[in-house]
Amino acid sequence: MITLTHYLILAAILFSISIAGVFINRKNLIVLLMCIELMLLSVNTNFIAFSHFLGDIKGQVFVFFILTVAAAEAAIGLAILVLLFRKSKSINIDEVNTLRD
Amino acid sequence: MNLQTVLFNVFSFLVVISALSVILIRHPVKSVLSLVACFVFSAVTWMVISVEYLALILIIVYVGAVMVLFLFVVMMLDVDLEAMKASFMKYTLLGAFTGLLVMFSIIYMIKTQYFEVANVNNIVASESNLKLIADELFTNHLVSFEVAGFLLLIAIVAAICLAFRGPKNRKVQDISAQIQVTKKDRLRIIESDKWENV
Repeated sequence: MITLTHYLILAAILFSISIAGVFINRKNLIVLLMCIELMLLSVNTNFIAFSHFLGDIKGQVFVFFILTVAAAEAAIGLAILVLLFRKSKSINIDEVNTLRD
Repeated sequence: MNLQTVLFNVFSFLVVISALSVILIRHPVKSVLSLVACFVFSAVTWMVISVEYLALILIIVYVGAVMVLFLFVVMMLDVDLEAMKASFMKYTLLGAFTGLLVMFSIIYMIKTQYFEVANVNNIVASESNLKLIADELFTNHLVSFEVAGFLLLIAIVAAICLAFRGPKNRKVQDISAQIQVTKKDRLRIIESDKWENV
């Protein structure tokens, strides 16, 4: 029998994989964006698991909104990425800090 | 072990494997493809507990639109793979340590008695999932729904403004340049004695 704990552990594993991905791929901006998508997926899994096992539909409505915001975030993030690549011919994180100088 | 449990175990294993391959594969296109696989597998794990609408939305909208956008961008950019590989090993140990730390602390929190919820899966199975979501969304969250639509509009405008390079080689009138033209720009006085020498 599947319980809430199974889903919470699955979401925890997914979230920690994406945190490890942020550390491992800290030079590559595309993979950083993908790790953020994975984190949002694990959060959505948590919401859906609680929504189902507590019998409250509000969690699924929240997942609906999270998907909307994540789509907007991905579109703007990729636009910034394309702009950055056009300026500096690379997507290395170390070349993004030009605003600091 | 019933069918639900088998499906959940198999597909959550596949979710974890494909998530690992997202962060470990060096090639960006293959990484995006494993992310697509991860989304599809986790949609199946959502389907197991009869969250049909969001599982289908995840596949149709998220995989079909957002991930394809990712794939287009990744294929368009000519990424220098060798430079990416250089810094890989340096942070792998730190990343693995932090990930394991976060994972075990969250699992420790879950394993304590606070999250032992009794299985009361009552309403979701009784009625259509889509009807339940629609009732909740359009009665209690209508303003949020409209704001979300407006947010998507802002995202479209922002993405176009960021990535638009301006008109190129278009034969349009530049009205302010036309107004500011002076006589000196259009007329050239050629003296008559120079003209005869030519």
